[in-house]
Amino acid sequence: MAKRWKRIAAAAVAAALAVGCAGGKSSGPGDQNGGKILTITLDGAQGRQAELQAVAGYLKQIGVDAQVRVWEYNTLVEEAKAGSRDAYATDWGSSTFSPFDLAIPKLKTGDRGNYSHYSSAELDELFDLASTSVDEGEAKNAYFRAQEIIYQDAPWIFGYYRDTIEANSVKVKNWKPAVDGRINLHKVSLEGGDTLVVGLRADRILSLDPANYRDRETETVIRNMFDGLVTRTPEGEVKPELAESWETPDALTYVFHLRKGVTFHNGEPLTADDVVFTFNRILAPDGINGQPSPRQGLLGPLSSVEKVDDYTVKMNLSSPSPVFLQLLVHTQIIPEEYYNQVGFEGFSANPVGAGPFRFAGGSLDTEISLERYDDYWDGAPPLKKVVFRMMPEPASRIAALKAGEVHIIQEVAPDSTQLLEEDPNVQVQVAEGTRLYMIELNTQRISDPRVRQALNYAVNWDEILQELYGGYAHRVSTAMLPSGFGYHDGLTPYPYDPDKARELLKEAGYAVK
Amino acid sequence: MRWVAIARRLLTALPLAAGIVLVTFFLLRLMPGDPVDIAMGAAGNVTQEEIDSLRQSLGLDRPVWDQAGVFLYGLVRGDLGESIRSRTPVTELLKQALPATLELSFAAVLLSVLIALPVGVMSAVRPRSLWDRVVMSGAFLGISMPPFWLGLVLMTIFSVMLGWLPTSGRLDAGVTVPTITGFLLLDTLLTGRWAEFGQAVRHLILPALTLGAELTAILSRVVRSSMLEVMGMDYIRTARAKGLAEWKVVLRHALRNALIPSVTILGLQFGVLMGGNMIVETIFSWPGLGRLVVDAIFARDYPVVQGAVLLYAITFLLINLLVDVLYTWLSPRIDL
Repeated sequence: MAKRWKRIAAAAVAAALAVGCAGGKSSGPGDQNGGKILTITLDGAQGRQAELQAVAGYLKQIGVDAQVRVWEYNTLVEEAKAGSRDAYATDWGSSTFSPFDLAIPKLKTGDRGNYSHYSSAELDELFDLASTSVDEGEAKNAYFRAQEIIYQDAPWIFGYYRDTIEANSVKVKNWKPAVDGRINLHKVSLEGGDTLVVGLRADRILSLDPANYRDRETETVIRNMFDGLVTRTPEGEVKPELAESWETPDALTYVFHLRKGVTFHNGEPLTADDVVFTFNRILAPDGINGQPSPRQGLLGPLSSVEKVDDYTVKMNLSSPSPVFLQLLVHTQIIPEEYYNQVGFEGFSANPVGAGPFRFAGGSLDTEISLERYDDYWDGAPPLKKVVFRMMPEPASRIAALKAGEVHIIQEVAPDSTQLLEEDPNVQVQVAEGTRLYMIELNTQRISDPRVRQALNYAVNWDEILQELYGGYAHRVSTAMLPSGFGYHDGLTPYPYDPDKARELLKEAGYAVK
Repeated sequence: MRWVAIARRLLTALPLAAGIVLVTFFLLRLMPGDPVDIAMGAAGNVTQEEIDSLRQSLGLDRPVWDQAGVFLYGLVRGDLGESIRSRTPVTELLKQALPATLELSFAAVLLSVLIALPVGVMSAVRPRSLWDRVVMSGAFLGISMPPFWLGLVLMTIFSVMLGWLPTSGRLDAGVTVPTITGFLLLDTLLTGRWAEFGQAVRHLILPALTLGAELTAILSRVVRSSMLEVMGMDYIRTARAKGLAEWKVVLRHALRNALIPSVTILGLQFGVLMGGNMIVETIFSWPGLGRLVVDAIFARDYPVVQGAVLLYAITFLLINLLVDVLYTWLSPRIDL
């Protein structure tokens, strides 16, 4: 009932706001070359408005009646899912460097992120094969074929990914931005000081409990306090952390050998019991204060975890998963005994992990202070104290960095990089981003693939991206990221070819200009 | 008598606040967007089952009327529920954010009054003088300047270029003060931490100036015009004829009577101030209520928004009451 209520209200709001937004195939007055005029409303949040205006400009040039409408993002997503809009600027992040959490949820029939309502039986089959095959060659081939289908069917106006731009004081040594956006400070040092301040882009982080959040800023802070079985290099490669080594006796089993001599911040040794407890807590339907953990999905097909001996853990999967190790990076081990002593609230207030820094104080909406853990298994960090400060306004982060109050800042806008580069005390650094930006098309309303291809040919993306993001945004050919597994290098993004676009539109029976 | 009236006003305020929150409750649920979906993030590897089970455990799958009942029952017991995103009790979040916002708002109001009163009075005493012209054009500028821009300009000048004042937060990085009231100026004094008190004051100056700029401008213009009006009254002529010193005439006889419109404006503007907080809080990384509620609205974190609106409502009602009480003090002809 609540759902229906909401739909009715949304419809009322939409009706009240509807000014000149027609459906994808509404028939306008005929042109001299016959056919009806294609009318499309491009929807998007404020941040994409400039881009959509430019896209609309290109579409108008070939005779499409294109409008832009600005939305609050989550409202738009709701409308897109309900199927009531034509085309919408959306974005989707990937954390496994695989189409597993990007192309698949976005384009598999009926999947959670499939806002374009796209459906192809052949593609679904290829996705199923690729995401469960442990034969790398076979998986890659399936993904290649999948990208060819997506390219042809063009369910989106394919977009781009942006670089992660971060900046730091030149006094910061041994740090660079990571592909996954995390800021790992274990090996970082600060010239002339031992307290480093990071300006996080977040308003607040959500929790200090490693099983109770689902955003990257929280993960950045937590990851400096907690270690996982495996971790990632700044380039995105999985490498051992608390697990020294592992083997896979079959496609459904992983056996991890834990590092010996690792201790939590309270001095207790880390053993297989802690690992089993950590994973069971996330797997349980009521692990987080009676509710499911928001990190359940990050365990993939993991079905159970067993202790073999004090330093060996066996994990059983319900289906083969080539991205399992990449997923494991996101689970951090907590001490069973301490957690049971202090409970959910006690643990969130005073978290204890086995990472390079220990919790020292602060609050989630202001700043979190950490201090060096001297007995860290991989050597005590050079920094004595680390402060993560919440600084949601980009211009203020830059001011704070220039004023010397913070040493590393997240998310610098492309048009601010020049200003920062002029400052000799500051260094701008870049890593490849893992979020895809695109304009999804409602394939039910714009059902002719020729029309969707035409829309792709009609837009001069290189121009738009250069204008808006300088050199900090890069086109992709379909729905996958170059940093992800199985990216098809042979496909080049749709070229800007307005004549080809007109031709395709005409073929599909639309008027062109 | 006055106390009875105040108590009566407080009692009628309660159902009003409850009504406001209930309206918020339904409006929120009319808003498109799904809190559970948003909490899980726009990324892959979340299954529909996962989302459904979370929705169920939060009670969001139940009919709206049911949810309203649960909410009201909790409200009566002082329980505002838990944040959907962080599973933290809402009262906990509010307890942290409210003092930060109030401290900033009060500082802004105090600063405005301290600047606007003398400025307005001096302008009124010498209307159309050079001082008057300069100050009133300044006030005009103050009204037209967007706080977002003003905040960044102040920050660039005083933090980046001059290095006099900090850019962000309520204290320097890594410094904490044990919480007693949540008001840092009070807490540092109560625990005798003078260095931290100084820090807190320095951190407060730029955000308070930014937040209070508009109010200062409005207030000084209102003080000026109402002073001008009062200065022309018969009783001022009488006071002067009595041979009173001019400063006595201005401060005792004119100012107190001229304050009534200013107090009205102050009460009204306090609401605008609390609303404008969100921008200033974001620019200066100030962990207050404005940021909390805007963040919660975008995330459709219903319980947090409801709790914050309740607080806003109560604050407004209290401020209004305070304004009315001030009236009776300023002008005994007015009754509660």
